[in-house]
Amino acid sequence: MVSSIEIKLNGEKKMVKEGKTVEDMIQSLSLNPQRVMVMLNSELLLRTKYSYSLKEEDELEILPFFAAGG
Amino acid sequence: MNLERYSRQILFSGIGEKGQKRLLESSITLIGCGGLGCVIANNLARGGVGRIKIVDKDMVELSDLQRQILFNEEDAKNKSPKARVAVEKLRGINSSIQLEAKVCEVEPRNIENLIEGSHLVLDATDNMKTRFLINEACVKNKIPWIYGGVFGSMGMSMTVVPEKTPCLTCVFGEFPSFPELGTIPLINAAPIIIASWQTTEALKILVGDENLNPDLIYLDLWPGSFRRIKIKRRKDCPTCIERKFGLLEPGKK
Repeated sequence: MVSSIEIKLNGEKKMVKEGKTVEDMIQSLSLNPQRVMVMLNSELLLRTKYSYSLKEEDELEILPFFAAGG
Repeated sequence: MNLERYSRQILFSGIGEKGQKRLLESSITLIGCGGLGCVIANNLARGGVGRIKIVDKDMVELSDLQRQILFNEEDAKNKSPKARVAVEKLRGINSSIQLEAKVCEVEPRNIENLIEGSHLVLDATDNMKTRFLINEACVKNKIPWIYGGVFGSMGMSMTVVPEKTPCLTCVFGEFPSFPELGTIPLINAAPIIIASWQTTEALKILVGDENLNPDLIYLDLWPGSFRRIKIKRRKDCPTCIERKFGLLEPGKK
């Protein structure tokens, strides 16, 4: 049986199955991995590291980036 | 010097007469004069920033009028250059400051000239490449700059003080990792609020208040959410730690 861990995703607590990756989280938000910025525990997570498996109490921010100036 | 026009701002304890005088002695470069840029130029000109340089290569179009507050139908009909129109309008609002329009692209060959002598650079550009170029030029020349970006009813901003705070590369990774989006959906309140956030940070920097916002701020007006996201400098940041400026100085190792 896969156990669950508690993380923070975009500021809110969330239970996820152990082994879930950052890439899974991006998909769960229906965002394009090419168009997001990801901060893991306040530090940039490079795109090459989106296969990172989440750990208990990780704080993850996944945001679309905004390039337009209006 | 008659400071009457700034009397309300002088009454504000964060600025005062001393702060107002500092603003009048300040010089900024604004890159981009669209939705964000019009509000930034408007706020800083009315607020008495002494020298404002506005850089934009584009002409006013009808679809700009929904949100770009310095332009009117006549400007769109004539396809007038945004930077020049903005300067003309602002001269009628505050003739006691120096305003300069630069109708040109911002490129590696000219950006350092454009920002030279500025105490601060305001980002209101419409693409990531120029924003990364601003980041490199400002980090290299140790000039603070303020990022702003919008999409739909959302927006974000961060203040970059070279050698003190995270830079754009620390937070977003290296260029060219972001595809450009082309024409985007946008309600007018998003750039107005983000630009107002940027100009408040600008006032603090220019009056010498060190209590700058340390976070990346992110808001979405439609659901009414606002978030502060803690950011850190990357220990191996190619731009602000290793000082490699790949866009500004291509080919240099």
